[in-house]
Amino acid sequence: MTLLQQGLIISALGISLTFAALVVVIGLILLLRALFPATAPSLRLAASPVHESAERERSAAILAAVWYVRNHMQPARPTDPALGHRLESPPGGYWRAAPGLDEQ
Amino acid sequence: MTDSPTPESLGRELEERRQQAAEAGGADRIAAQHKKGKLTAGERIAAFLDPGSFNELEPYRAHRHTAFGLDEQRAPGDSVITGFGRVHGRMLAVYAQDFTVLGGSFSEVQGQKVARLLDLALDSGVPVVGLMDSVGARIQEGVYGLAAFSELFWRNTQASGVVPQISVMLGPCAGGSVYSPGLTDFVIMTEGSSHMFITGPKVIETVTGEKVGLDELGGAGVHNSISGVAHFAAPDEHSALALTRQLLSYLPANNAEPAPRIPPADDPHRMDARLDSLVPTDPGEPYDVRAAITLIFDTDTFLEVHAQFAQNAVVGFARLHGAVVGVVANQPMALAGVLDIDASDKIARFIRFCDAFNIPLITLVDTPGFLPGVREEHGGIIRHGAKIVYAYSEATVPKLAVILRKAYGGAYIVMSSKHIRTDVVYAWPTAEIAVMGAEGAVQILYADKLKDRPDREQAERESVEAFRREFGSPFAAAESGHIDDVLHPSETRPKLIAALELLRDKRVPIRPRKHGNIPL
Repeated sequence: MTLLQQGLIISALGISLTFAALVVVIGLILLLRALFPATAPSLRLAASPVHESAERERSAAILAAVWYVRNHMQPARPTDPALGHRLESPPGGYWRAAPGLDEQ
Repeated sequence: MTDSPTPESLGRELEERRQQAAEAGGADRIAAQHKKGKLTAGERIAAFLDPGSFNELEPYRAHRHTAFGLDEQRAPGDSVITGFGRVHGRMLAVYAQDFTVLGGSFSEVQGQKVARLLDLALDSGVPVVGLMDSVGARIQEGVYGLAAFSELFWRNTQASGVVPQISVMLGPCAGGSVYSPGLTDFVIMTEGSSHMFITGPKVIETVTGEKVGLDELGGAGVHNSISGVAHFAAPDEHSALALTRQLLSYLPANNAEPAPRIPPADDPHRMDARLDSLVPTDPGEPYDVRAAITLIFDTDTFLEVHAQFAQNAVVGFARLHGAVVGVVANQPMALAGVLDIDASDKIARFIRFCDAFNIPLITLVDTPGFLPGVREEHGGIIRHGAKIVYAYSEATVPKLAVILRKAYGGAYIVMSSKHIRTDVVYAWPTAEIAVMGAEGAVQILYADKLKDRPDREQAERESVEAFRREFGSPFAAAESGHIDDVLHPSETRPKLIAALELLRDKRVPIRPRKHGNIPL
């Protein structure tokens, strides 16, 4: 047997195997469809896909806007309404000025 | 029988004498001063202080010397105007050397007038501002002038750390007289017209043969960027005086007062999302730390000190919810933010000023360490670097630190680490706290293991990655308590304000001692 014949046989075998596997898969799909027929939700696919896509985009845009506002415009955690108040008044009696003064 | 004076005649005489004192140098010299684009001493004081607030002292005092024709050159008030007035409504002492009187030369009377002003300022606890424009010592007065210098230097030293002292250089300042501004807290120089040096170009050429120009030797550019003698440069006199007013707005009148507060004009809760992406995760990539300062502190309140000197470190005053703070930061844009001799001196001096005048310190850390090199070692980087440790350790004001990215080795310790009693230390998620950078550490730790491997580069990369996983995040330091918390960068502002509130009344017991011995 020449090398050419050998190559042709291997190719033919490979193609046969591939198609056989394909037949098995298609058969399996057909069997499953027969066992589990399509129900109502699949019908929705027929309804205007363009309209649904626009709806989804709108929802996504609203969600993105809400997230942006939440992340960038508002603090990420509860804020302390008294933050900074203590700095607005002069030091209390516990405060001591530059070191050394008390010893004098 | 002579006519006895009337109230009107006495009043006229007073007005005439005031006029004479105001034009002490004479119309020609005043015109010459204006021709040089410079103001007279009186005009400077008027431009500097709040309108109508100046009260002059000893305007008629004149010198007593006669040698070398001095008896024919007596002017009321001599070569300096001294007094007190207000800036932004706050009292201070001010003196201005009068170049129109004997070149503003430092005389016995000038020394006595300025010394008395410093005594009053010290007793009253108000800042002292000197507007300097003088040829130097009045040679004709001999040792009397030198004695006057010495009195001033002694008082500058006594006042150091008690009341803020600012020198505004508006003309020449040569010889021994440079030590007075050298002893003060801040030196502001005008570009082109002010010069400072111990020995002038002619003496230098005679002694060493070096030829050098005035600006090149002691101009504002040189002292602001190379020597570090000056802290600020201003393009002209009016800008210099405006800058001095701005600087004073950050300073307390004395060391017994807190720094002046202003009503806060910025939201304490402000969390700027730009901070979250400011620091590159690549440790080798530079960024401008001043952007972080701008976004963290109250808007438009940062006043950088020593902006042109040792640019690998950034120091300056800012406000946080209206309260004055001193900001110290490493600058990755310059020399990758390493600490060298100049940066150490710059940082240490600023820390000590803030500590002396009750200004809390906030440190932003991103440094790969001390600058290696023979020049640095021979220059005494050990001694200079130790100044930072000393200054931070000695400081008792509230101390906060945020590690932005790199904090390696000795530089981690000295840059306001918890171990030298920084009160609160935060880190950003980009922080790396380690003995050294990953590449350097791998070279040392795995040198033997790596040297014979055929896939050395790959193995090295893997080891670097492993090292980074261990120390490349702040959580290892957080787990061991070496930092207090890891923050989203945008949270830094409210976190610092809250910490500053906690520490507002901080007091630390000080062991009695004469003084410490900072490694100078």
